[in-house]
Amino acid sequence: MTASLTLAVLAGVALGGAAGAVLRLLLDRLLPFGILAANTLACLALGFLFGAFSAHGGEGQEPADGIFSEPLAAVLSFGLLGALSTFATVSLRVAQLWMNDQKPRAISTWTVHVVLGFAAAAAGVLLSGWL
Amino acid sequence: MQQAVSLARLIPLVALAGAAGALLRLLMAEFFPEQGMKFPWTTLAVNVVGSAALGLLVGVVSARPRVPGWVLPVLGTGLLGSFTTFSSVILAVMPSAPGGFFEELSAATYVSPGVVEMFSYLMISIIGCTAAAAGGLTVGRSAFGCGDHTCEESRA
Repeated sequence: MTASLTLAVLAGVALGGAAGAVLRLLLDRLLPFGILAANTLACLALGFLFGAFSAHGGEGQEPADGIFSEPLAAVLSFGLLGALSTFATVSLRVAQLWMNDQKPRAISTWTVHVVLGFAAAAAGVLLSGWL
Repeated sequence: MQQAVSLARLIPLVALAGAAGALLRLLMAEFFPEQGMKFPWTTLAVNVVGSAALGLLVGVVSARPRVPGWVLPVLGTGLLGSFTTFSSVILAVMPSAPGGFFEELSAATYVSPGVVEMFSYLMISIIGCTAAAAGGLTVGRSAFGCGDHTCEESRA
């Protein structure tokens, strides 16, 4: 996904990045598995976005009946959804578990993230096909 | 132990840092575009660097109790959390899933080599980023004279 760096794209990614990071902070502080929730939610939404985008034209085309133009899809995927999801925090917490000899928990943390991420992304794609 | 900072004071700072993290990732994708690559190198590099930096940050903060309480949430959760991405990794792997159900997604992801390459990408991302975070933690702690498990680690 790409978009030329217009001022609108930069502003959209900055705004989305701010909102995604704050939403992830709140989920992390308020829920026991907040980071997992943030990552799963982001996969669901990005699956929906990519599904809707791919179904109507795809690369470089301005879809007549599509919901998302390429710049809008790029802004959402880089800004809001890219920032809502995180790799570093999961890596860090798994590294801490591993170094504290909690290896089964370390492995299951990544496994649950990946399984739920795929399931949510697939659900998002299917959902975009129905709508 | 660090002084806790109220959520109300953190939110504007995390928002600013989150915006910066997302913009940095966008700029990386502009300078090193993944379409045309057979492998999502840019996303992988972003995630490895971000994970190593977060490990380093948490290691240093755990060794230096006087670091202000806002540093970890703002630079860790805000900047590095936002810079790295999980959803792009999952969606990049989807078009290569066996059965070809999600093949059409390659219109949005561009990179869609074989299933073996994409499974490797997933495993390299997970193992590489976790190892990078562990390495960062170890370097950060030891650089400030804090051996194994002797420092109290904050949640990041």
